Amino acid sequence: MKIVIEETHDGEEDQIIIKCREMTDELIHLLAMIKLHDALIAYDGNNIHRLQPKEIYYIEVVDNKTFLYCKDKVLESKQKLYELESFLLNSDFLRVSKSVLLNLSKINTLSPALSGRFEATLVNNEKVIISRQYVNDLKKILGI
Amino acid sequence: MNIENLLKTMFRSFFIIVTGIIASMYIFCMAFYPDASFSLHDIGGILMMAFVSDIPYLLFYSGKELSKKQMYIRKAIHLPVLLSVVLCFAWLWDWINISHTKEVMTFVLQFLFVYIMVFITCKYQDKKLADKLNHRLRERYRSQ
Repeated sequence: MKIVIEETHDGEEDQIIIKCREMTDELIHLLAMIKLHDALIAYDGNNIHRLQPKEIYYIEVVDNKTFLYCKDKVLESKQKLYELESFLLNSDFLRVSKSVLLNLSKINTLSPALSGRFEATLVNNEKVIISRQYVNDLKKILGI
Repeated sequence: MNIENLLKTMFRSFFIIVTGIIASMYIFCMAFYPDASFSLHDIGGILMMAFVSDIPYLLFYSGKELSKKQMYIRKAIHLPVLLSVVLCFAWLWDWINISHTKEVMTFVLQFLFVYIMVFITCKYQDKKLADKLNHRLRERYRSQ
């Protein structure tokens, strides 16, 4: 198997392109290994879950514990918020307050929440407050 | 609002209050006491009033980000507390004659007018920004 590494241009997202006649077991295994690196490990009591970031709606720190809020379940992570923030860098996640990382792709609407803050209503109808000092980051990401 | 942001807001609002008081005094005296003059003692009073008026801001202190409802409740408490502080100072420094109902009412209405105008202006600006952000979010979903 030939491996080609090309340097990306500035601002271009890193990508892996697989050119093949058919998906062999070896390639499927390779893909699984790559995808494994994108997953987050979370706990629900004694159960261990492997989560894709797109499954997470938002991440919140409550009493020094990190919780991952999904569509209909809440899981705990052993990682700190800043670790998750750097892990999820260049993804749809954005720090929206001191204790919350929000998945932008899960926002349904945004509405004002007084004093320059905003309230994000998520697709599962949960509400998350976007703190005033993080509104500029959101504006930057959305190109405003 | 955490303590760091609260202190920043209080510091900024101190100067806004000083400017607001001077502007209000000018309008008020133009209407009721066109020959009025102010001493060094009065300037000290303005600064003291701005400082004390800033203290009710502590009502917005919270370790966790306040929800929309909690914010409205605290605003509803903040308004009468602030009005009481302002009225006390106005009476203490003889800016209004408390036995003249018309004078007191004018003062209160002037206060409410400024408070409501600032509230509406901020809300309108936030609404405009929320519309822009929602628009950009939808564009982002479409392109994904």
